[in-house]
Amino acid sequence: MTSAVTTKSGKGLSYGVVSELATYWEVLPGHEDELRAATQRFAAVLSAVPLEKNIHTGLRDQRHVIFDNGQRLMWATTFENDWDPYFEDFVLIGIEHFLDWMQHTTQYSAVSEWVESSGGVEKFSADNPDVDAHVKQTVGGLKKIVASVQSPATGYFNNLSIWTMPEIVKAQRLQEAFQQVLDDPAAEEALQHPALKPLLEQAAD
Amino acid sequence: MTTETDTSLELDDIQAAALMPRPNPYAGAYLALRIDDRHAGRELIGRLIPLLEPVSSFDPDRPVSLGVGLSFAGLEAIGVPAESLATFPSEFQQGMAARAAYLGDVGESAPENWEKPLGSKDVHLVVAALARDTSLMENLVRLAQDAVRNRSGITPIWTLDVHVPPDGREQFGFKDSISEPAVEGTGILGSNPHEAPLKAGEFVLGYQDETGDVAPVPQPEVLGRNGTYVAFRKLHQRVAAFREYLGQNAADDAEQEWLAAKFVGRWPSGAPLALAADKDDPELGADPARNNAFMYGDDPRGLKCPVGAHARRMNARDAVITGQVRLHRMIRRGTNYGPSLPPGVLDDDGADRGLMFAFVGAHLARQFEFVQQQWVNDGKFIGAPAERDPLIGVQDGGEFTIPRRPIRRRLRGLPDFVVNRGGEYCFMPGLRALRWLADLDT
Repeated sequence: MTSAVTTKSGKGLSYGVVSELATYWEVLPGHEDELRAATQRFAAVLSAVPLEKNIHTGLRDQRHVIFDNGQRLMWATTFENDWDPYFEDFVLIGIEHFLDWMQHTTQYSAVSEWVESSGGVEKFSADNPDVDAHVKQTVGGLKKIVASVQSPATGYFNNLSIWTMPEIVKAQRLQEAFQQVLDDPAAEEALQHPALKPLLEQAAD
Repeated sequence: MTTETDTSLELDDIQAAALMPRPNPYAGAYLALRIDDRHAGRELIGRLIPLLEPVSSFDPDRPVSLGVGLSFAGLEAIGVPAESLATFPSEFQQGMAARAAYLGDVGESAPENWEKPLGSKDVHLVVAALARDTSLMENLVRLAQDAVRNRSGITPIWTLDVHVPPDGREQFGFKDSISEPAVEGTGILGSNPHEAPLKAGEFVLGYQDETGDVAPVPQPEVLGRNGTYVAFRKLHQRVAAFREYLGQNAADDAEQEWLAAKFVGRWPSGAPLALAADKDDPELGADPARNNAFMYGDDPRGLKCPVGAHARRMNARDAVITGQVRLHRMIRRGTNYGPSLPPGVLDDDGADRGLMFAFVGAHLARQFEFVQQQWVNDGKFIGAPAERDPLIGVQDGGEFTIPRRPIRRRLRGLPDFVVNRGGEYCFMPGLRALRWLADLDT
């Protein structure tokens, strides 16, 4: 078996608990429409992933933009934590969905070469019981490609940069619970206790 | 660049001390040597090789264990060619002291405060010698010392005696060295039956790892293949400060034990909070078939074991965190040094006591350095950016949350309970590589 030896990725800018990764790809001639559809599928897959799994990936948001008259593609992300130490983690978690849109870029040729050397694309069919193992083996190739097209932002801002996703999820859970409390007719009296003053101050709206 | 890999491990070439659990009970020593003359250094390695066992012939009942590693400065000192030295990863080339800011070795743990000569370019060759008891250890250390004795050009520059404490627990009072990963292809059984064996390339150079890749192997192949990296750290434990903090934050002895268990993630007996949430279970703690057989998936909020507890940070198992746990697993070896602080004593007696920690793995950056930076000295991966490892993290007055019904407990103003007194990155070559080093003619 042959395995790729890889080097570390580049590094985007960090802001608070998040960091950015922006990559720029060359679109294969004639593939613009297929690429557009693939990027929409990619977004749909992410939308369907339970929040818990997305916390696992660390991905906060992502977008694909086709530009230069359909010749180039930007894939930009916001990631919780630093990209650099988590690069392999993220790619490993979401690898099978990368291939769908990446195959329409010129940079995919290196991956496809590696895919072939690993037994061919049929090995990556969902029907193959060993598909997970084969998918994992493309990490090295993908990592190299993403790193090669990464360009750090020159400026970066994120409004929720002080909160991690688990904290945001918990804040949502707390808000729902607090509203349930306020809906109870006994809430006003209950919130008069001095220990609950901070909550009472939030109860007016 | 691609590398042809063979999936069968060359167990007859891998140093047993790299992969096999240490003897228990144990007594032993860490020795650091400076190589002033490359020819003497090569001769020394030649003398040490017959004392080393490969994994293939390792007998778990054998009462002694010896391991040998070289720092980057040591590889230079022994005359490894520059083109070969350049193939080692940059973090290893720099050494642990140069990586201090990244590792969180700041303040009292900063290299300028390390015990001399740790962190200097004089630490070239490190020998770890462990035996089941003191008399065997003395014989073993004598063997190692005989290999060094009267060798002009070789200077012993540092030594640290280690021993199992009388109660078998580390200095804070907890049973340790419970968690052992299974390594594919070695036959080494992991301590958690719920964790699949890890790819050998996580721990040995030249084999496929958990990413499907092969880590860059130092060249030539004979030097790098079947080797691994070791990061050792002399961690001073502030036992009196630990007890004092617990006393200040607990009403009685039982609550102190409860607080300490929440810090650690296990009770003093070794029983995991995940399986014994409310009180210690010494029978469970003493049972190697059960004391690490658990996951955290049924405890997402940390009501049994806090999500920020030391043991849960070191191996989050199936808990939801940012990232993949299996990419950052480590073989961890802890050996106790210094006298125990007698039970009940709250005043620091000034003695140096703690844990000689050793990491073993094929990826210094992705394993040891990642864990130090992301899991020990940060909390974003568990959604708690203000918190660090309550036991070994750099606190700076930090906080620690203990989930509990009806209301969580939050501790503030945590001091540092552990100070790094120094350490180094070493390369632990395979046995053929050691022979190659001994036969160098540069």
